[in-house]
Amino acid sequence: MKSCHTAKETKADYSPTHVLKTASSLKKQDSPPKKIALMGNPSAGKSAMFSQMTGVTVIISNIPQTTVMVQQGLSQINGHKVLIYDLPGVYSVTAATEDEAATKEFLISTPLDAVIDIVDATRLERNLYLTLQLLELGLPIVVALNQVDLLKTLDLDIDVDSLEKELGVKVVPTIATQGEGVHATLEAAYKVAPAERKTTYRKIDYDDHVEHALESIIPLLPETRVPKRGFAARLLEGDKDFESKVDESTLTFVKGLRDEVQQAHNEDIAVTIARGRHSTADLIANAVMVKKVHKPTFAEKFGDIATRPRTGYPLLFLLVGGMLALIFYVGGFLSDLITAFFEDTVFPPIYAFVNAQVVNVFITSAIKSTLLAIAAAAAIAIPYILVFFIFLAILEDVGYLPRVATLLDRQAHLLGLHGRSLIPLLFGYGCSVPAIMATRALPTKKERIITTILITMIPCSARSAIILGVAATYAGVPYALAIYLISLVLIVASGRMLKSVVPGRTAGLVLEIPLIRRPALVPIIKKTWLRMKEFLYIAIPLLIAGSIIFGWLDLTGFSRLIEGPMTPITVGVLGLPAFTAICLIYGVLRKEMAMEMLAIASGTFIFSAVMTPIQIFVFCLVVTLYIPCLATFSVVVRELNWRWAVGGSIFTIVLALIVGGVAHWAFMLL
Amino acid sequence: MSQKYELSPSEEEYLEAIYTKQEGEEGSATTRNLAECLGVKDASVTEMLKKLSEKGLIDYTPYHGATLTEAGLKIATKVKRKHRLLEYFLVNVCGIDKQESHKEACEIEHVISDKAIDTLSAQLGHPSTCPGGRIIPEGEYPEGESELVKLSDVGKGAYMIRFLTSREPETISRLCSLGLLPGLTVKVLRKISKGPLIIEMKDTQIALGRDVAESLLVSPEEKEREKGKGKKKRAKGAPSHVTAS
Repeated sequence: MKSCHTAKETKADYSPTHVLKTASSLKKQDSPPKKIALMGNPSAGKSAMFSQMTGVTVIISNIPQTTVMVQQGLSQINGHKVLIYDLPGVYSVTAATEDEAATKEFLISTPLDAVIDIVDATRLERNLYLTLQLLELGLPIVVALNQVDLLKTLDLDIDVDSLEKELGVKVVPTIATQGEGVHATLEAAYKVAPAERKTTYRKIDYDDHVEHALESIIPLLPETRVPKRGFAARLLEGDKDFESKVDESTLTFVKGLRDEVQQAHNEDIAVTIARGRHSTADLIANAVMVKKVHKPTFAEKFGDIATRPRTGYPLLFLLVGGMLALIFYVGGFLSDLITAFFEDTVFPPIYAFVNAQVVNVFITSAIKSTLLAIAAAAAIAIPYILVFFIFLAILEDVGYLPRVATLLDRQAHLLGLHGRSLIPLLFGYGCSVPAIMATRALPTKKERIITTILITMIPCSARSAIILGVAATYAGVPYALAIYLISLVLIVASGRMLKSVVPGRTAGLVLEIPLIRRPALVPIIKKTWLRMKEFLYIAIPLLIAGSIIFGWLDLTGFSRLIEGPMTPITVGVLGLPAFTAICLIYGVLRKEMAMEMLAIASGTFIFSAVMTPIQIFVFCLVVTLYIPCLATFSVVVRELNWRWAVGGSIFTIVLALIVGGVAHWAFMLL
Repeated sequence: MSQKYELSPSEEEYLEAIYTKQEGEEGSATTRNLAECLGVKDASVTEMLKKLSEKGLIDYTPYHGATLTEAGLKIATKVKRKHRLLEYFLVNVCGIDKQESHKEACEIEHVISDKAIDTLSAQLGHPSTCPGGRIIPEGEYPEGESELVKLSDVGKGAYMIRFLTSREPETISRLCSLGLLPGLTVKVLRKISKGPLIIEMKDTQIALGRDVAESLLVSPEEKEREKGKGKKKRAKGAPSHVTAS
């Protein structure tokens, strides 16, 4: 069986820009492994499928010209190695959101040997919309009809053979979460022959105007690996990627045809073409599916409870409260354990060794700083962030998050956003880094920018650790609550302001609400693990580097030096003791460092002995609000750009100083 | 108080002709130019005008001219609409040349029902001008029938999407991807006050922001209306005709 695609692969079409070391698994074999991409709607079960197919050895890399990450992993079928790409979930091959645009970019620039289209059996018509597009574009696909186990609970049945005949491609029923059908799917994908696709695939029935137009366009098209009919449809739609592949005169001709069709239908061409695709998908789905009388299941009733405001809000409070409690009690407990472990077991021998053997003071400092950084990462990342990720992964898989977005859409408008943005904002309570990464799913740039900046103002686990550990404990619980409240008010106010300041549009909420389903353990673990890896990969180098540098600054007495010049701010504006200056500087590296430095600089852990309750309050307030930590800053640079990162930071610093100053002076006057 | 006028085809022709004259330069129709236009004798015209005047469809001053009354205008507009829509259909869809189409439309317009023409218009995507370049008058929605309202204004029940007024590319793209297009039946499950709507389409639940729901114009589904289940609220200022930008 010839693989005609290898002939075209002269160089790697995209190179990973971030690589986590998994050396041996990536050694090239004699013939390059076949490249297979996983595509499908969000919630169709791609991640489950991917994690079943690949092992632990997974690389995360960038799709060029985007910030969207694609996971790739090695798998094997019948002794042959294959490379599997897990693309973001999309409804259509368009460029409406960053995820969709990136997926499209990937499909265009990467020659693939096969595409596995994961179709959610419980949403057949909708999923076929994507399938038909993939066929129209001439991609060699195999359909994995996933979640067939849910068909029974919904009183549905699908005739797989019929579906195969209708589509003209191989269809494999699967239950990805249980591993069923995964092997068969991979096998079919490995064997799929691309050449056939061009003639035997199921064509979309468009309406007459469009069909006439397509017929006129087809003769003008160059030979590419995309079937001419699909090419023509894309051109008619106004797809920029395809427009760039034809000459000026053809473009003008197509534009003329497009205007004619739009005139005739009095609607956007996109709508007309979409309708053609959907009606064909409808036809196919109705031909192969049997529906029986259906009574709502428990899962559906639960889903209802989540979205009905009267029951939904209480449920939300319960869950959020439960999550926070879980994070801080369980997380706090684990954090203490890990810190104790490092301090009692790891540090002493290493310190002893270093102190005895190493002469250079700077190296000593560097080693100690590195250890501290690692310990801190472990003590914060594992207990707080990991617990948070797990909790969120569960909610995600169950299908709860879109319901929250719906419920809180109206409230989100207060912030100048839509319900969708609330999910990344919720992430922000755990850690800003994954929260900002989650903004990729938002459809417009404006929403991404506003949501990102607001996330940097949300008290993450580290900041909450300070608020609770310092303010609540040493100043009083009302002060701690006040800080949370103030930050909330400021976030709302900032959101509204940003809404007018940031250019661009926001898109209205159009959100699919998936079925409630039982979460499966393995996909959750794998998903969480991958997120942790991404986070640690960003955070740890920064923490280590930052710690070393700060350690050296400390060594050279810089810390003392900074106190003086900063007095106008620390003492004058904020009314804090002068030694807090260095704490605020350190807080830029990691927020909890502000707390640690406070102990070191003041000489004690009993903060109430050296600062008044007001001073503690102001200190914690400022730390909560001002500039996000270094890791967050770097993610903002990555996701948006330098301007927004710097601008946002300055904004938060100024805000923190103003609010802190006001608090200080207000209390002075009372 | 809408009376149903049962008019003969020739009566309708007259009203149509008077409408055309009024639309055009003359401003009103005289016996002379009507006779010319319709190819009949002056006397026949006079007789007909008297009849129409008695029915309250025109104001007729002998030897001066005829103008349509409000009732007459309604009917004439409707006939004109049918004519132009039929012309549009015959020329653009059936591929018949303009002259032939005009002749055919002249015949069909008198026998085709209001409902059929409204459906035809919807199927054609509510075209706004006929092949001759003249405006196609808007349809009238007699009580109880397809009145277009915003999805955000309706209560629970089944509706058919008729038109999408949004011009935002992201929203259009999103709606297209999910299949929320004119011609689709959706069921409104829940409305969160001042917040999103939750609808069901093709066995999936979708949450729509209020602003998106406002841009979707719908009409109640047949079955629901007859059963009396669908609560069709009267929208304030429901647009009867929306043009694309």
